[in-house]
Amino acid sequence: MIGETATINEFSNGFVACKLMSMGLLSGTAITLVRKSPFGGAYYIKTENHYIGLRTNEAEHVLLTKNS
Amino acid sequence: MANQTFKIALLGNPNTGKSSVFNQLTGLRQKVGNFPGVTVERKNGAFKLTDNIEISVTDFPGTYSLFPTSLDERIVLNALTNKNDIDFPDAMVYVADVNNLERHSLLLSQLIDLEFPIVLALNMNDLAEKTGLSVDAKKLETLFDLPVVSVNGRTGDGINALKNELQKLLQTKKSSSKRFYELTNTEIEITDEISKKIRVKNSYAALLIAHHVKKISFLNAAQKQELLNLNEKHKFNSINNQLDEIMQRYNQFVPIVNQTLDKQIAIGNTLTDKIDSIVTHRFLGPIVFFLLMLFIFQAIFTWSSFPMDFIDQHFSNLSFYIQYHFPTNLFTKLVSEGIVPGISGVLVFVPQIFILFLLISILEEVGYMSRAVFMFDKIMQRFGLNGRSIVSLISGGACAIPAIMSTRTISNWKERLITIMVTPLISCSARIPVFAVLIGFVIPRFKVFGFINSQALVFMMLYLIGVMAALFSAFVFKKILKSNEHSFLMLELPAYKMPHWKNVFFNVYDKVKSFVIGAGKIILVVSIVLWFLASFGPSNKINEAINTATIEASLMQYDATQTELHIASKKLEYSYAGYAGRIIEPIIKPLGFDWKIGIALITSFAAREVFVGTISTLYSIGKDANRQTIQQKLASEKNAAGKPVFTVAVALSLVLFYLFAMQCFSTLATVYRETKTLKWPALQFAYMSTLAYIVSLVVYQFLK
Repeated sequence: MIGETATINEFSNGFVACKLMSMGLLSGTAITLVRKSPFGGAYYIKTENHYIGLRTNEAEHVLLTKNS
Repeated sequence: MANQTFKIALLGNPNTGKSSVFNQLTGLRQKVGNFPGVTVERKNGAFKLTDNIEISVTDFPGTYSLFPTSLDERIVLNALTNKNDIDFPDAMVYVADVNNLERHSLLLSQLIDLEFPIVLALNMNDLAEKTGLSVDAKKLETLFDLPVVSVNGRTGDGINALKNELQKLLQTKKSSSKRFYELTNTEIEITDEISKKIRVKNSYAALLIAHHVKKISFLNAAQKQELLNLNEKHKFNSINNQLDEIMQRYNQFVPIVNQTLDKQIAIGNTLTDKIDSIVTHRFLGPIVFFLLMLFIFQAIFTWSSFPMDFIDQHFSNLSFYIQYHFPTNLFTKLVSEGIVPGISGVLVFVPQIFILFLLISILEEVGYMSRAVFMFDKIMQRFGLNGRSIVSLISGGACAIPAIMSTRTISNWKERLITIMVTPLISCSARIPVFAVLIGFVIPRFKVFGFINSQALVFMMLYLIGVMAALFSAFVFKKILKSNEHSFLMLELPAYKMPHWKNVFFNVYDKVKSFVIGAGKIILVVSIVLWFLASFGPSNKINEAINTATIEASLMQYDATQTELHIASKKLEYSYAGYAGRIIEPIIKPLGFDWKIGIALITSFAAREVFVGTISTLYSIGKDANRQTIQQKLASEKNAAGKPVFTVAVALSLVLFYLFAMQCFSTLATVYRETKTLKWPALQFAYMSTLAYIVSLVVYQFLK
């Protein structure tokens, strides 16, 4: 899981979708899960041109397609 | 030609270098306040465009879109949809980062649809220059149909060109003819009806109002209900329409942006990757954080001790000088004993505040702070706090005033409020002198495990108890307070960069200035009022007291200094403060405090460390006595029944009282300033005093 890159397929929550899309994460964007936060609860995510911290319960609403 | 003033809005996404552009435009002509009715920081500045055109710029909070998710973003929406808002702009400067032009175009496309006259300022950062990224500004200008200027917020390059474009724009008032979104049929029906009911700029403004009815502050309750019914009637699914709109916008502007960039640079930014692999590492990350905080804490104490002593010494010399070189009258006394010490009491905190904000601003500029938020978010969440709260809590170890001011960066109101409410429980530097005098009574000096100083250990424990009390209280507030604001963390972690010193300077300058002017006024006034209460009393009583004291002194064959000290002590006893001490005695008796301690509790409201000075006066110990002398004197002090006043039980009860009680008027004033209502400082005072009272009561009654 960690270190893997996948493509955003869709979002299962409108609020999360709206916020992430405003930040430039759209369906079709490739994201890499870099690491978990030290005490859990959040992911450190990298896209083609920026870094984002995202809570795990928010990340659950991002549906991914694995890059082969 | 008559002088004209125009309002300009500075807008853009977070981390675009917007503040740098703001600082370049306005220089020192800026002031920090709050947006009306809310506590989001509002930075406003001014500059002259020509001899007779004056510009007032508002630096709006960084925003991703006009679909707000935080209070910050809501401010932008409200200011731009309400023509009567004080920040409603005549024109805009939109700052976008060249490296991220694509995603920074979303908000721009929305602002274009609102038909504002806009200049696009492309911030060329170092990265773009290094990688040789170039933008076809002319092409961009044509495709977006608005003036485009390349600027460098760091060096100030392009700022003059920006001003020129702004001047042209203010004359033509021309807005872009491009549109990035076509309203759906339902949306057209709704916005037509809204336009009939309230005055709106255009149909897109009406659509934004329809999306965010509840968040629009200029609508009254009846209007809100009416618009909500309207949405209901048209079965308007706001969130789905927002998502469709965002997609449509991207489809429109992505081709434009791609046509104008000669290449897209991906962040193979290995430096940020390398730093973050340590700094946000599971185990190393928290260690780095605590080392940094330890350094800040240490710096606050060591670097500030010299300037603080300097200020303290020079002001007390000044008092002394005034006392002996001016005629002995009421005015001289007011100046030398009330006003000068009051000003000194304000300025003495400046070095700590300066150092704290200097270091925090640097960490913020570099990009570290968002990493700290990311790392500690989970723990802080459990206590109803935010990742950013950790910075405020640690700052509270120096002084609660700047710590509370630093909560402005927390966008969730509930989380910010809880942080404000619990921060004063962290032991601040003004408590140290009080603890230092009293701990000697409680804990004999010995070595624990042969090398740890027992008293230092107790100091550590007091800090720890303070931290635990803060977290516990936060947990209680979390359960009590209601909030319907979303709590989320979708946090951009900007690439690390060298701090931009101009931004650091302005940030620190703003903080120190707002402390000196805001909190300073109150500390000064409180000091003067307390001086009055401690120097005056019912006139016959106080004269009687002076006479008695003089006679007593001569009977005891005191020398001049002793006589003076004895008279000062008796005067304080019969002053208004003395009477107040006696009035509160029945209340504080169960805690083991007599009326003399009561006087000190009252006078230390100006700042906690005043306790030591008052106690010294009451027990006729000279002002310059050192800690050992004060301790010896207090230890030998007997009450009417011949029992010692300062027993272990009393001293411990007093230490704990000072640890928990809200004994600081300036902090309360700061809380009032930050929350805009009396409710929160009142509640804070009540809960902290209650906590202090109960703990002291239990401890004293148990040990007595």
